[in-house]
Amino acid sequence: MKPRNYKKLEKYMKRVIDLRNFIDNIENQLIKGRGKWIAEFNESFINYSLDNLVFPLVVRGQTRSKGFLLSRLFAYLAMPNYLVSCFVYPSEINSYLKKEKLKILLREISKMMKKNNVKWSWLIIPKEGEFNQRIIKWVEKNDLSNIGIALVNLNTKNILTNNSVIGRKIKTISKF
Amino acid sequence: MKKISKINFGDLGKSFSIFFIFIVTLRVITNFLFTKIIIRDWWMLTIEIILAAIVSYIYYRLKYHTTFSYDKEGFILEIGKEKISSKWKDFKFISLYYSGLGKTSLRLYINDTYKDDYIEIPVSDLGLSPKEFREKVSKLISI
Repeated sequence: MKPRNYKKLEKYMKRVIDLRNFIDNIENQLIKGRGKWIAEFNESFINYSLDNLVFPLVVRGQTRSKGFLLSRLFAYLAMPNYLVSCFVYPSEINSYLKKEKLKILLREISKMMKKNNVKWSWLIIPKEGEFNQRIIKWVEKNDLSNIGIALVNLNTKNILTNNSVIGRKIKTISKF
Repeated sequence: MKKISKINFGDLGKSFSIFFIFIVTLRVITNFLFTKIIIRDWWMLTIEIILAAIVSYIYYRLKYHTTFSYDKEGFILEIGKEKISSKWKDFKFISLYYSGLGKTSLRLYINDTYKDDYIEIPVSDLGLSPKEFREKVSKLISI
């Protein structure tokens, strides 16, 4: 006989697996050079802790690609050498992401960027289901110039980004 | 302690090519200087190949060959003549670093991920699966 909460547990496990697959997918895409028109990502961390926050995935790189001979020379002469990073922080299952939490995330990322001279960052927040309307409006209005924010609905594959150049670039660095 | 060691044919081939070209060039130059003719014989080529293979293998063992031994407490990493041993608990962050041309290594950071205080384990040279190995090491670090 199946336990009473079997279906609930099954649903929960499916969500966890979907999130895990999403994170794996992003890591593979970035490492394989999907974002190379903006930056070359070459190092990935799992369970990266920043103060009290733990990011399941952080991928970092630089805008100057390494390449081979000519492309290396071109990158050296024409591209600025900015450090960049991409953070993935899944919204907790069965709960809404609060604006305050998002602000804390952005504050910690900004602090880290300032400390380590990181020029651009992206924060990707995947979720199984709809995001809170207040959060959506806040992200859409947000115009942070050096941090791109993306809210990803894993069910509908809909991506919502903040209104800055860096934010809009998220759609080009990863395909969900 | 579990020991992992694998011959890296990429590095071995690289050192063989360098030594083979060097030996052949040296032989041609000395040949020409002393006799004014360049000897082209199969036995000469065979000797050069054997000599290059021996020298390059010794060079590979001294410079590139990687051996990694580990248990629950710590690990010993040997790259050529260099030997590093450390405890898992000394590290705070781990990452997979992709240096291009299919080379992947696991970086173990002591404290700050933006400083150069890390140890790099060449995962692809050891023939390990990078993600599986990262999973294993992250469990060992958190113990």
